[in-house]
Order: sequence, then structure tokens, then C-alpha cells
Amino acid sequence: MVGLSLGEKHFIQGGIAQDLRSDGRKRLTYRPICVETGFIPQANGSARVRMGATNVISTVKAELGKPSSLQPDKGKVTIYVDCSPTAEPVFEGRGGDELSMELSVALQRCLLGGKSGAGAGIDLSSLIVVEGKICWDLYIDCLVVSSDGNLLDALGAAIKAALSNTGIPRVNVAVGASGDQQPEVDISDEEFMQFDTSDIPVIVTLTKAGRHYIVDATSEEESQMNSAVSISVNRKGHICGLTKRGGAGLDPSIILDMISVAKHVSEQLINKLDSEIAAAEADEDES
Amino acid sequence: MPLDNSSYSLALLRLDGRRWNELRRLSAQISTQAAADGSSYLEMGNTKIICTVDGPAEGRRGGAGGSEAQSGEAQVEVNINIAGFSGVERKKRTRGDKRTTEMQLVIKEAFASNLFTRLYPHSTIYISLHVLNQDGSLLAACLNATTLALIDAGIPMSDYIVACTAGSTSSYSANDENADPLLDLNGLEEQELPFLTVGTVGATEEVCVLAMETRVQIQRLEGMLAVGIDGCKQVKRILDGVVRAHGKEVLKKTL
Repeated sequence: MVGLSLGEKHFIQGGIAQDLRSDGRKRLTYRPICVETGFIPQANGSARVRMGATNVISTVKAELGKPSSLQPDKGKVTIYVDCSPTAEPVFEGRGGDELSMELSVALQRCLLGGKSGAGAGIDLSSLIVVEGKICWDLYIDCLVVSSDGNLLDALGAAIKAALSNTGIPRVNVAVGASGDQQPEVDISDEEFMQFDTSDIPVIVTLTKAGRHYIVDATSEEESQMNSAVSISVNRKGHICGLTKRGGAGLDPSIILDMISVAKHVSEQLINKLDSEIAAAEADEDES
Repeated sequence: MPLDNSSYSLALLRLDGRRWNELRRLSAQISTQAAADGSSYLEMGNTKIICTVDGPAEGRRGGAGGSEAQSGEAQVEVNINIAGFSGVERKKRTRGDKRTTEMQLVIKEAFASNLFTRLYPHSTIYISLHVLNQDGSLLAACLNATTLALIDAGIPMSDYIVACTAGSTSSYSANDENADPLLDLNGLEEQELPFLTVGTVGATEEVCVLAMETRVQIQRLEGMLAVGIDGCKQVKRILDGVVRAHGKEVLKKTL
């Protein structure tokens, strides 16, 4: 996808080594983030996040469903990622499936916690309407509109923004339904409940190129990586998930070092993202 | 749920507050995607579409095109991707869905005859459309978005292909003699009322796309068609404005 000459490769690597990357950023600086919310009216919540030339959309759709028998007191959340052929012509047909799969698994791991649902960024028990019978199923669909590196962080941010924008209709359950009967429900179209999104972690990907590691790599920089570690950190500074990509091995001490750096970077990212989301919501209310 | 037309007969206003001959807000941007040769983003009311054009380039299916690849003109290939979240209910459309395939074919045929394909022998022009949100006039919005993306890609064409929908104020079964024509139906109106999609070449009255899937009395058709063609002229003016504004922007950057 990215064809670089030897000179360009040296330039990028040299820039990283000197803490001055080709777009003028330092190693641990993000590109400007721009958030726009609520522009897909058909979804319960939606957000578009731009990080430089990377542009992703995330939408949340809620449907009433049945909780699984193993966890009758929890709702279900699923994350799908779709890589549009408008981002890269190679994504046409089945070309984007592999990347889509990789991204959705990584996002599920970073945001949804373990199999039991513990540690999830979203409180799954808040999705329950009638225990064991009815719950909300949240479908989080993400779309990669254009890609210039660091998709995972952008998608993570977009999901966080979309969930803050989501309103789930309040459901009134008809009283009197007993036993095995499926209770009747009445979906309110006026009252909505919002999620508490403050616990949703952000994802920080540290890409190791040469001897140093950088955040928010562009696709040119990503082509020079030997390995990348994605760490999801919540507001309290707790690690919620960890994924490593790329073949080259890492020394354990470097990983620990990366984690502490990620923790530090995530604080700034969360604050930046929160203010952007608030600004986007205010914009939406105005228009 | 039958459509409540009462407001129409009283104040001559539609559900979203428009008059019969008004378009929804139509806005568009050109050159939105860096990865493509030409791209556009178009909103027709709440119908939102991204379109990218790649090519003219050598066909990707190496030689499989056979006789087509040998012909002296460029092939047009259209691929429509409807996002799962775009509709009222979430569903994953499978590739090769019949409605999508039909739309692809309509767009392909319309542009194959309008573009100067003879200038690019042995090559293919790839058009890829992504529907983000649907609220009526889907085919028309796809055609308009494609026109803009092709202009951005710099592929010569005889004139813009512009499209919009036109409907009638009462359903077929009502058999209302006095039904008025309506311009640019939204999703709700499309479910209830008979409508057609009409596409014209530029502001001329040459119809290049005409599609109708609902039943309507033949007397009403003439009015609907006339309103549709008039709508196309309005769309042409708006798209032309978008292209010119973009052109000025580009010029400013190069100077």
C-alpha cells in the first residue's frame, strides 16, 4: 500500500530518532482530533472521528433481544468493523475482511472486557430490561472511511464518542406478565437514558520503529514498524486490554516502559477527547 | 401506518414542512477521500453517500473480461456498499443483493453512455458508493454523488447526470383525480406514495434514467415526470455551484 524509497525510509527513521517526525510532531504527540456526533439520524448514536487523514465513523444501534442463558443479568454488546473500499481500493470485495476482523477482535478485547463481561467499559447490567427475558443488544458498527494509520486508536475514540451520543429509549414493562410468558413492553419515544461513558477506556497504540516508539503513527510510519503494542487505559489509569501486533519480539522491560508511557499519554488523550466530545455535542444541540 | 396527509390539504405543507415543489437540503463536497482519484460526499436531506472513483486503469480481473477488455472503450464498474446501520433496522446486506445489483446496473449504464469512454480503450473506471444513511431518493442521490466524483477524477463527460425523485400526493388505491405531484420524496413518503426516479443529462430535458417500482394511474404520470425533470434542473444548478466553488478553491491554492 505504501511504497517508500530508501531515502524516504531513512528520513522517517531519522526523524523518529531525533524526536521530530516528518509532520513536525514529537514522538508522543497525537495529530489533531476532530469529533462530530449525531450525524447518522437512523442510529441511536453516532460519531465521526478524524485524526489527520484517518477518518472513521462509529454508530450504535440498539435492539431488544434476549439475554444469553449463561448471563441472564447482562445485555450484549457486539462490535463490527467494516473497511470501506472508499478508503483503499484494495478493500474492495473481500480485500478488507482480514483487517476488519483483526480490528474488531482487538476492539472487543480492549473495550468489552473478559468473557464474563467483567471489566467492560460499558456497564452491561444497565442494558437489562427484564432479567433473563429482555435486554438491549447494542450493535456497534464502525466504518473506516479513509485510512492514514492508527486505525485502532481512532476507532476506539469514535466508539467512545458514539456511546456518549447514544440515547436508549426507556422501556416500560407491562405488569402482570408472569411465569414463562414473554412480557409485553412499551418503548418510549420521548424518554431516553444515557450511558455513563466515563469508564470507557481509550486505546493508545505505541508503534516501535527502530529503537524508539511513537504514538499515532501515519501509514507511512506504520510501514516502518517492527512491532506495535495497543494498550487500553481508562480514566483511573487502569489497563483494560493489551494487544501486540507485528512479528518482532520485544524485551519485557520495554513493554513495561511502554505501558507507563501509554498511561501518561492516555491522560492527555482522554481529556482532549472529552472536551472534543462535549464541544461536538454542544454543536449538535445548536444546529 | 397510513401517511397523515391532513397537513398537506390544509396548509399545502408536507410532513417535513416543504411545499410540493421544494427539494430537501442538498449539500455536497468534492475531493473528500485522499486515496481515490476522484471522490465526493453528498447529502440529500438525510440520505448520505460517499462516492469514490478509481481509474481509468487497467482492469483488475487479469484478462478475464475477454471480449469486453478488447473493445475500444473503457468499461464502467459500479459497486454499492450499503452500511448495516444506514436503514431503520440494522441488517447486514449481503453482496449481490438484488436491489443493490439493479442499482449498480442502472448507474453503470447511465454513465457508460454519458462518459467519453472511447478515450480510454482497454481500461476500467471503478465507481464505489458507500451509503451511510438512507432516507429516500437513494438511487437519485447515488447518481448525483457519482457525477461529482467523476468530475473530481477528471473523466470527460458530455454533461452532468443529475437525478431526483417525484411522487404523487395520494396512493394508487385512493384513485384521487386531483392528486398533485410532489418533488424529492423522503423515506416516509416513499413508503406510502407512488414515486419515480428520473435522471436527466444536464439541464436539458433528455431523460437518461427512469425507474418506477410503484403503481400509479397513467394520467398522473405526466405531471410527475414534468416535476421530476424540473427538480433535475434545480439539482443541476446546485451541483454546478459545488463544482465551481471547488474549482475556485483549487485555483486559489495553486496561485
